[in-house]
Amino acid sequence: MRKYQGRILQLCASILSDPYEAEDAAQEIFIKAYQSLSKFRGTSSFSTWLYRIATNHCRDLLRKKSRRRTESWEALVEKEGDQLMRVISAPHDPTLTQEDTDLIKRVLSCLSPEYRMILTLREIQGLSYQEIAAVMHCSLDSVKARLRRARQDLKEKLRHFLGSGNV
Amino acid sequence: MDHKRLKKNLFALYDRELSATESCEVLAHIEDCLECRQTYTNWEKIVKTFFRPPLPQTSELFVQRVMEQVEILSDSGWIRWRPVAIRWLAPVLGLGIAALLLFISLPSQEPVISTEGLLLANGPERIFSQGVFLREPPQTDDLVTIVLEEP
Repeated sequence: MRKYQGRILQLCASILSDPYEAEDAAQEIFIKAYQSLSKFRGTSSFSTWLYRIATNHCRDLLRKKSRRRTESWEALVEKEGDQLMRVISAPHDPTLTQEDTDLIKRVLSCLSPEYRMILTLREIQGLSYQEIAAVMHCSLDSVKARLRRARQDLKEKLRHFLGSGNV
Repeated sequence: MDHKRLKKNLFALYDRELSATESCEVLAHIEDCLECRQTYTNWEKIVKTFFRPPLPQTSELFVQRVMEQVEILSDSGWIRWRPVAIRWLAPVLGLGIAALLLFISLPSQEPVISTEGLLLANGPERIFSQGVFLREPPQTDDLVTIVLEEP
């Protein structure tokens, strides 16, 4: 558990955007893993198996959360457009305020749970296509297609904030 | 045509999923193509803004809490018995129901004596095989009488 604690906590925090919720989720994931240990056949690596449990758990939590979501993308842009523009134009700024961090979370919460999941696995966890396919139990082509759609969706949403040119 | 093909590989390049030759080809295209260059740099910008990995905060307290939960579950026997229980629950229930049905249906089964069987019966052994339990073997005349008296 000590070996994977950091990675699972990071995954949960990236997906759920709430450190307290992430810690609870990580705890539940390890308990679930312990309960299902007899089902681990060794056909994939242990980390892949653990990631699978983690992503399934986080996906369920995200779905529950997204049902409660009320803020639309349009409303968010209308309210926080200027701040969003400032945050995007300074991506290297290491001194983000709490407000900026919250805004980033709100932007990501406008993505569907599936898109958010696959983007987190790729962009934050740095998993390869092959590893994502193993974790998400799907083919390599499906991973590529899902990633493409997720990126397209996010790019489309941020189109007006990324300056001129094709996004 | 080449632009379309190479544009498709932009994200594969970003994800480091291309071979060295393919990477060189796409990189050379990015140098020349403004549209692809902007797509690539814009995605870099998005990732740097929205996908900053949060620092993992590992702690021994977390491990302790999980282990406490696991111990509680182990003490209640849930972890030990749950897989076994689920695996055997359906067959055991099925077998139980089958046994119950069999038990219920047994007393209601009365021996069926067909007329033909009685007429063809030749001695106590044959009569027994038809399911008639008699203390003394019946006389042939009695059997004929029984059959004749039937409505």
